[in-house]
Amino acid sequence: MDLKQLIIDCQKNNRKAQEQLYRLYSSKLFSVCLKYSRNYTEAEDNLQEGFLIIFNKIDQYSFKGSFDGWLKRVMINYILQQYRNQTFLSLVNENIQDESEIELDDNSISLDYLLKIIQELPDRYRLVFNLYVLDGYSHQEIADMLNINIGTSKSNLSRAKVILKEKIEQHKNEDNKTFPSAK
Amino acid sequence: MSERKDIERLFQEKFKDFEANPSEEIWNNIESKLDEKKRRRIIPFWWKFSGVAALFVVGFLISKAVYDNPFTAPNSVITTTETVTENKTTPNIVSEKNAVKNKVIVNASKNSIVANSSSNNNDENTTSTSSSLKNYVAEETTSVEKDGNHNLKITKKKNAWRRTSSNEKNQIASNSDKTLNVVSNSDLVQTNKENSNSENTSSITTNKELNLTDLKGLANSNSKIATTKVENKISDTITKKESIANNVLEELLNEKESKVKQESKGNRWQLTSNVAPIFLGSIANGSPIDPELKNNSKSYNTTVGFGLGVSYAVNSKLKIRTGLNKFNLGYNTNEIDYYVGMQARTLRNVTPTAASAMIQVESTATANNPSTSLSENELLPFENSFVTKNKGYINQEIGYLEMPLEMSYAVLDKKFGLKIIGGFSTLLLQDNAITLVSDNRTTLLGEANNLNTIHFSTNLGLGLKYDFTKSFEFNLEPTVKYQLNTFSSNAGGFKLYLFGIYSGVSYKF
Repeated sequence: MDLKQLIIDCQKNNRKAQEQLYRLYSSKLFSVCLKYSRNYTEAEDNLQEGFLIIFNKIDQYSFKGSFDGWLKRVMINYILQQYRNQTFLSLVNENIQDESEIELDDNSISLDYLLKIIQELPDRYRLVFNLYVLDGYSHQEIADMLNINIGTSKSNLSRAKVILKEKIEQHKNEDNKTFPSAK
Repeated sequence: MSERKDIERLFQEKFKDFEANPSEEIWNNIESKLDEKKRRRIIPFWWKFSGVAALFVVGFLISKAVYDNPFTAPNSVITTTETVTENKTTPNIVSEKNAVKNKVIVNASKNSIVANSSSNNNDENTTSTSSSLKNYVAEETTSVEKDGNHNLKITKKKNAWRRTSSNEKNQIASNSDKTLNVVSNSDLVQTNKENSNSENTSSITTNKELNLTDLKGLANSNSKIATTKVENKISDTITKKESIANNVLEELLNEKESKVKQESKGNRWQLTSNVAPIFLGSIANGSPIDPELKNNSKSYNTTVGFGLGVSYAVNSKLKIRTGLNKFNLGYNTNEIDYYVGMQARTLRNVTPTAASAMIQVESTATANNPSTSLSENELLPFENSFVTKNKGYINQEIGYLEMPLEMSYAVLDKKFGLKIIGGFSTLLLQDNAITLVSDNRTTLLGEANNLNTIHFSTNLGLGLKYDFTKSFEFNLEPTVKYQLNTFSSNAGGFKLYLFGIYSGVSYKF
């Protein structure tokens, strides 16, 4: 299967090609949606609208750089746009926290649980955490994308990490309480 | 086993290969939305055409309504009746004004002037004053309409000035016996000021049409205003105050005048010149010259047409245009044999000249097949032996004077513009000649007798323009003109269409 040909067909609005492209990339992009959205339904909505935008904009893809990266960027930009016009709650304690380390059993925590606590983060913490930790954007880039300043981005990140850490530890303790003999 | 881990590392590792399959329903949704989009894309394409058609109808109805029935605006009626009751002394003017059909709204303040001048002058003047009044009304509305907010303010301001000055005038006038007027006038001015803002906007469309006709009379009426003023001055003893008031009014008038000159003319009209290569074609086989030549190959000549046009902008998007174009059409019917016969059968739809009556023309194809050739039989037996057939082709040349009536709708109107043009043309037959051309000679065969002297075409085109100054623009308009009834009969299914690429320069004024 030639990816380039597939993209060209999609640019010509060929329905078969569009479906094939969707089959190829939907699971990868759905994971992006899950991370950046508040819940599963919202992630589904974002996936759907994001793909429509991808098909709409695919003729702007000029075969420079990886197609995977392009798709992901379009999807992330679309999701960020949902939040851009929204005024974020200015949360207290914007000062930068210490780097946080956590002690845990290697396999004790499921991916599902981690996803759940990411989704539960306040909107901007979730976005900054995802962008910085999981998708490798710099604080400068995040600041530009979210129209905030670098300091805010940094403090949001550390607040996000503190919240996540608390939740993981809490979860661990609950596990220990439920199965004391397991340890 | 337990280890200390940075929380970032934890998430990065866990999410490294994270993928999740969405439900099948999502693709179905996407697909249906893509379909919807496709469908939506087709609809507006047709909407635009039906839009143009609808605009034709609406434009026609509006113009008809405006010209036939000037009394449509309910506001003007209300205001006028008010005036009638209060201005008992000037019923003539009021009715005149009514007939003029313009809105009183903005300009009832003018009543004060009218009232004054009529009281100052005698009946002779009444008509001229009121005619000047109507033009003033036109002026007023134009300026308001033309430049939106900015001038609205100015006009308002001027209304205020006028109010004071006219009040002054009225006070003087009241010395005679016009007390009633003073009260009513100032009242009217008050209401006007209030009315003018809200109602101007609604009246803009109607006024647009009216202005045009009224503007023509503007030059005349202005001089009338001037004379009225002079007469005013002479016939009455004028106090200083009054003359000052008059000056103020005059100034205002002049200002208005110059403004009208500059702005109301604001680029509604456009003169266009055009030159076009015209490509001719027929959508069906057939020969308008003779049914026998139906299957002969035709070659169409590319000709050049030129013309002048004028267009009027009904609004920012829609223009009506007409003009006069001159062009010739020509095509050749190939594979022709001809020779001289004593009993030559002439071509069916050609009225021969005396010289050409003896020339026998036939299609090479038919000539080679004696059984189907009628003309062959018409040769007297002895002729057959010595006749020499020459090869050639028949050229038919038709010249027209075209009067298009078209509408154009601007899809894009920036420095570069795009519009859709639709309409029809009336074509008057000018030149009509059929010639026989062979290697060494050209012989006039005669005139086609089945061409209509007037026929029509439907036109559809796309217009591109580029503004290179404020009033000059370059146009390029590829247009197809489908000829409806070029031939009165016997065209054998020959249906002409023209494709012209009209290019030219136009001037807005």
